[in-house]
Amino acid sequence: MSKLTTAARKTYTGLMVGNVLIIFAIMLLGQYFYYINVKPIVPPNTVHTMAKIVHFLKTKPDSNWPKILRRYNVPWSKMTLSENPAYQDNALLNFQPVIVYDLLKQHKKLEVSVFIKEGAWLNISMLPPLTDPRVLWLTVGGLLLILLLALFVINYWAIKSINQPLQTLIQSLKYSEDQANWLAIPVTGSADQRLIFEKINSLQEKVNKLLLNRTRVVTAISHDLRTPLTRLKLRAEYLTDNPNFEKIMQDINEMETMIRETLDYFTDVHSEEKMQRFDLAAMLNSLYEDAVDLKFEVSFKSNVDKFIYVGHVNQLKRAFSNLINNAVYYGQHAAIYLQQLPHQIEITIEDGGPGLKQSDLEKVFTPFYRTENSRSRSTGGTGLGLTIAKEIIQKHGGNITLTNRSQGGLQAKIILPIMP
Amino acid sequence: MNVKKKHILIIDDDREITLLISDYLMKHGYRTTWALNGANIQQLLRENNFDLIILDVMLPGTDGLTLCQTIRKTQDTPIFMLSAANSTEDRVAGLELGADDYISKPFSARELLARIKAQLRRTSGELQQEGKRLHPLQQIAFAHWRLDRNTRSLIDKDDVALPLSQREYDLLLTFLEHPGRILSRDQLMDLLYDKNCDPMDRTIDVLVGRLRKKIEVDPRNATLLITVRGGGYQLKTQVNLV
Repeated sequence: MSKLTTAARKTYTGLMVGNVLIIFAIMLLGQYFYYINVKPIVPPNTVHTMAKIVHFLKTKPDSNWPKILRRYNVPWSKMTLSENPAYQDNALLNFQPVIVYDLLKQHKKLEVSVFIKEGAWLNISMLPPLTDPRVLWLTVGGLLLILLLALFVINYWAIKSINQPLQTLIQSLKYSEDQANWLAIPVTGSADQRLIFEKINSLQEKVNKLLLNRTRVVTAISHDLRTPLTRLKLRAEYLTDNPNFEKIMQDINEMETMIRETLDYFTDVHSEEKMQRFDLAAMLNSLYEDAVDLKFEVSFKSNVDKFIYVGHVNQLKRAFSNLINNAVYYGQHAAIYLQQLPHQIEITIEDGGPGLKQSDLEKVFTPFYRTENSRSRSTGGTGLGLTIAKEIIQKHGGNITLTNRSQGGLQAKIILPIMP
Repeated sequence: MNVKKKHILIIDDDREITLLISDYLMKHGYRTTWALNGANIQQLLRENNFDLIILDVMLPGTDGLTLCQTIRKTQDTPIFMLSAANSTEDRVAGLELGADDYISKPFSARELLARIKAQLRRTSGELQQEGKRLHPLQQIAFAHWRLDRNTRSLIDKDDVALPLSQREYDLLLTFLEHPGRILSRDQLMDLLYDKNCDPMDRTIDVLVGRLRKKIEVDPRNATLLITVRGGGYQLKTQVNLV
C-alpha cells in the first residue's frame, strides 16, 4: 500500500474518529435502554436509605422514631408505623435489599411492611413515577436517529472530500470538450485537487504550445510561399505563347491549391462560424447545380423537399462540396441522395469509379494521405479534402463512412443527427 | 475602347508584384500609379482621381487595413484588398473596413483583371449612382427575402437559410444591384459571364427559371422576376440594405 497524502490522511483520521465516537455513543444508548427496562427509575440510594431507616428503627427507642422518619426522606414514598402490617402480602421480617429490588422490578412500585419489633411494623409505600414507554421510545429513537444522521454525515463528508476533485475534473473536461479551445481548469479545492489540476493544466498548455508551434510553422511556410507564387503566376502570364504555358499554369495552380487547402485546414475548420437554421435539401441542390454548371455528371434525389437543419452553412457546404468533387474527379459521376430517417438524416454520394482498396477506406481520411491511384494522376488534390469533410461532419455530431459498392464505385455515407 | 483610361492605384510592398500588376493592367488599357507603401497616400489621393485602388494588407508602416479605413473616410473609390493570408477573419475585417473585394494571393493577372472589370461595371450600376453602397457583408432585403452574402443564401421570414448555387447567387445579386431596371439577356450574359450572348443560347433563361423556382411564390406566374417582352428580365420589388 502506498503512502496516503496529507489530505487523504486527514479524511481517514476524521472518518475513523467520527465513526468510533458514534459507535461508542450507540453502545451507551443501548446500555441506557436496557437499564431503564430492567429497573424502575429510582434514585440509586433509595433501597440503601430504606435499609438504614429500618436499622435505626430497630436499634433506637420508640421515642426517637418520628424524628428518624422525619429526617430520612425517601422520594415518592410514604412511611407509616402500625401495629399490624398494612400490607399483608408483602410483610417482611427482615429488610432484604434483594427482595425489595425484585419487588420494585416486578411491580414498578413498592408496598411492603417491615417488622421492627412486636406490634410495630413499618409500612413503606413507594410509587415512583413511571416512565411513559412512548416517551422512552421517542427519546431512544430520536437519539439513535441523530447518531445515525451523524454517521451518515461523517461518511458522506469523507466520500465527498475524496470524490470532489474527480467531480470538478470530470465537469471541467466535459465543458472543455464542447469548447473549441481548451480552457484551463480552475485550480481550487484540496491540496490533492490543486495538484491534479495544476498538472493537467500545465500538460495541456504544453500540448497547446506544441500544436500552436506546428500550426505556426505550417501556416508560415504556406503563407510565405504565396508571395513568390504570386510573382510566378503574374510572370507566367507573359508566356501565353509558349507551348508549355498550360502546363506551367497547371503546376502553379496545383501548388496554390495545396497551400490554400493547408491554410484553410488550419483556419477555416477551426474557426467559429455561427450556427444557422438552413434548408439542407436546398444546400445539396445548390451544390448539385454548381456541379451541373461545371458540366459534371451529377444527379440529386431526396425523399424530402425541404429539410430544416441547424448548423454551420459555409462549413457544411464545403464538406459536401469536397465529397461531390471527389466523386466526379475520381469516379466520373456523382449520385447524391438525401434521406430523412426517424432519428437521423442520411446523405449518400455514390460514384462510378474504381473504388478504394479495403485498407484505404479508413486511411484516406488522414491528412495528406493519397492513394497510389491518385498519386500517379495529376489530379491536383491535396489529400485534405476528406480530412476537412470529416472534421466538419464530426463537429456537427455526425459521422462519415466510405464503402465500396457491390455494383462498383465508391459510396460516401454521411449520417447527421437530427437535433430536437 | 474607353474614351478615358481608367486610373488604378496599386500599393504593395513587393516591388516585383507591383510592377507586374502595373504592367499587365497597362497592357489591358488602364492607367496605373503604384507605391510601395502608404506614406504618400493623402497626396496621391489629392492629386489623382482613381477609379479603383488595389491595396496589400501587409505593408510596412501603416498597414493596408488602416489605409483602407483612411481612404474610406474621404473617398468612395472601390478598394481591392490583396492578402497572403486567407483567413476568414482577415477577409471579414477587410470588408468591414470598407473594402469592396478581397483577393488572396496568389492570384492570376487574368483573375484580377476580371474582378476589376466586374467591379468597374458594378460601380456604374444604379445603386451606386443613387449613392448607396452595397456593403459586401450586408444583407439585402427584397420582397419577403433577405440575401445573406456571407453564406450566399436566401433567408426567409422564419430565418431559415436557403443556400443558392454560385450562378443563381450571381444572377440575383446582379438584379439586386440594378433594382427595377430591365436587363437584357445580352447585358446579363456580359455581367455574369463576361461574354457575348449567342441568340440561341438559353443559359440565362434556364438560370432565371431556376432562380424563380426559389424566390417566387408561384414560379409559373412570376411576380418578382418578370419577363419583359422583347427586352429581358426585371426585378420588380423594393430593395433595401439591412
